[in-house]
Amino acid sequence: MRPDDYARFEKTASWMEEKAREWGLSPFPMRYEICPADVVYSIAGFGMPTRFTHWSFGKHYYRQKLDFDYGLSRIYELVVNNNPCYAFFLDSNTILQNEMIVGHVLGHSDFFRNNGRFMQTNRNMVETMAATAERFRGYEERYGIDRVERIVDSALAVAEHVDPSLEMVGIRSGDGDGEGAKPRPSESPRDLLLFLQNHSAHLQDWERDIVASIREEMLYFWPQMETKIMNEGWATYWHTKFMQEMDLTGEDAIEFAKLTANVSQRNRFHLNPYNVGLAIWNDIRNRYGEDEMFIARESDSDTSFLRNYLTQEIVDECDLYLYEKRDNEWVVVEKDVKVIRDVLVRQRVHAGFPTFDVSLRDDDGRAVLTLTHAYEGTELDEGYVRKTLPHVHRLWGGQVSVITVVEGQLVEYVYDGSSTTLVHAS
Amino acid sequence: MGIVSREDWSLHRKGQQAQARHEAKVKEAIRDNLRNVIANDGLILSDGKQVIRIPVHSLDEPHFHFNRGKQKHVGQGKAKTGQVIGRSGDGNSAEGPGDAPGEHVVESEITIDEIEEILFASLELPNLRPKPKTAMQVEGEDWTDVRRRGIQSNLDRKRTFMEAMKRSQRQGALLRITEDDLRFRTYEEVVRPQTGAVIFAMMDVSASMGEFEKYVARTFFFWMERFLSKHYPHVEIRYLVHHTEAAEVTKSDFYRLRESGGTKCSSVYELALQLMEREYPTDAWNVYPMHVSDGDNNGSDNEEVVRIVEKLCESVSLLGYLEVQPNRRASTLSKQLEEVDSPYFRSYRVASRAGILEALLHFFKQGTEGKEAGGR
Repeated sequence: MRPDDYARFEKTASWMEEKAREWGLSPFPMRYEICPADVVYSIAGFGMPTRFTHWSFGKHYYRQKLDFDYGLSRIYELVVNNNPCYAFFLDSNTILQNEMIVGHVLGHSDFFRNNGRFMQTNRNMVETMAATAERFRGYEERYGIDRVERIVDSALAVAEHVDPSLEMVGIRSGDGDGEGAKPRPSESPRDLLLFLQNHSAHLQDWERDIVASIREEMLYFWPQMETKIMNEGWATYWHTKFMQEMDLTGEDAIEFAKLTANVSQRNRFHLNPYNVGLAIWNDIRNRYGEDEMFIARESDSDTSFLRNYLTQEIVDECDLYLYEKRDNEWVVVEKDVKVIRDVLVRQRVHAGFPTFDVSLRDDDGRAVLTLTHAYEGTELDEGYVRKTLPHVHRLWGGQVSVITVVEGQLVEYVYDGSSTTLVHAS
Repeated sequence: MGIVSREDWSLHRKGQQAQARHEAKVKEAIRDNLRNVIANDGLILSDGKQVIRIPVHSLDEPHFHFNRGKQKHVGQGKAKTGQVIGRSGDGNSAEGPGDAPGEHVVESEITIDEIEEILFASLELPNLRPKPKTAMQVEGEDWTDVRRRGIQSNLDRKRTFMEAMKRSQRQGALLRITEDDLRFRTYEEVVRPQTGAVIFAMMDVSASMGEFEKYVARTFFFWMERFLSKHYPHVEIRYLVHHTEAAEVTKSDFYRLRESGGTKCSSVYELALQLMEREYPTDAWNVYPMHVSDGDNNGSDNEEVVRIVEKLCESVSLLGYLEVQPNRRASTLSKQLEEVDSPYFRSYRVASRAGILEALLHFFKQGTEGKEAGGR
């Protein structure tokens, strides 16, 4: 943006907010932060501006930054589910790009505020994460960066194994009274992190706090993973409408067309949520009117959204297909909506991660922590079972195992602290 | 309406700091894996020209995953049913949908400079022989520090400019260079051996020396030459092969030649001796003869070898005998060489590629103890 673009930015943002209300959107109050690329990529790497620090976030930051430096990609939007809602803009974007992004983040902000899945999320997460980061820093000073990092490494490795259906802990009251003082919600066999938090005799209080905090952050991010297609489609639908309303002329119109083409680009290996989401929302509007859109925006997540609204016409329009591996090749195998829909829905169960039931087994007086894979036809990646088990072990402090199915056989991987053995379970 | 803000983010270093931690862990992984890294085929066979990609397991972020190779996936594009859209391993992790175990392993790209930095940090040049002062010393300059005072010609423009930027940012003032911002480079005078170094790469090319033995030799000489180049302004390498007779050959022949028949190691030591006396006067040269052999030698020749080795040791900087023995048994030759009593002679035995690192560490360290050691 050039120096004289900032006035235009404010004017457009203000006009869009007004228009949004007029159209029935109700976003959170907005904070627009315009910042250099480094900062935007750093926030993207961390997932949140105030989050604790970890080398893996640095790795992601660096990859995105490299892509940016080489002109390979640009993050178009970075928006935080919080009240107020923070949106970050690249100062090197053109004014038109950033105007489009204002429209886009207003869509997200409205979605965060109104979609059912987000109702339990902590709307003060920017502050909560800042407090968490502060505590982690304290642990690093007291116990050393390596010890803290080891626990964070392990907790992040199993962070997806939470149960979002559990009643959420809710917003932490005040700033808490230090380590391990979180209320304990009722348990679920699916929630490994909660189980460890409550039952691992091996964890010290500060380590328990790390596990609990990472669980809390995962539960906060979870609804975004469950509504990716809807949410991106919704934001794209509204930014398109804003931009059309702006009556662009000349260069601006051409630039907008290019941006739109960029955002809706297809990838032979992945579904583009902007493209498919927008197609579905457009179809809902055309067939049932905007009122129906608002109902779906409130009550659906990606699984019900796809089940209810994905049609053969949309599959054809978006050139969706299924592919699978045959020998060493990836081959297109299906274009029928019924099959595609089933696969899409199934892959969105638990945000695409395998689920396990946590239990304890007595093995000669030792409590073995056993994760029983809820096998539904898709095998686990064995290499990763072997790599992840040591992390469970580190948090549990004793023998751990995974029971799953490989080629029709029930098998168990047991890790005892030094090596993994594979046994055929009976 | 919402609030638009443009804060001063110049102190925001979170991304860089986390990345620095990540980088440090990559280095650590390389260090832990150094014995495999330095023997990497791509690196050695390309003579160090290739940037190598090494798997760094510790930097992977493990999770429980489904086996992607056994799942159906959704993609987009104009493709017909039955059409192949990619091959396993295509485009690697960046684009492809991933694959069976292993494909997610983080591959870290490292350059030869980075490996050298780590490897050479643990190597030392064994005792230098005193040389005549004129030939020995050179006054070099090492630019070692940046200071606030100095002479104009040593002004570090870039740093000065950066200082001015930082200060004016802090003060919210217009960019102007003040006296306080000036930064000068300073140097220290250092004394380095001015003389050159020469490596006599000596190898047995009799039939018993197979691909593995030659690979070990190649890897060893590769790092030896680079290491010496760090310390001497001029390094030459001469390639001498032998079976029952010795000859000087080109580098490519050195690793290619294979002769049938017996072995007489003394022939190559004799050739080295002649070469040194003829072309490398040791008041100007640091001579490093290094012999790689599987230890197979005509028994009647062993004593002769010891005799010439002792003679060479009167002048050379270091004479090395590297025995490559996959079965880990010390040969008669190597036992005979134990008789050599000179701080300038060292020998080592390697049994596998992984032993090359230990061999380097053994030959290139200060001190004279432990001239014989078994290896991995």
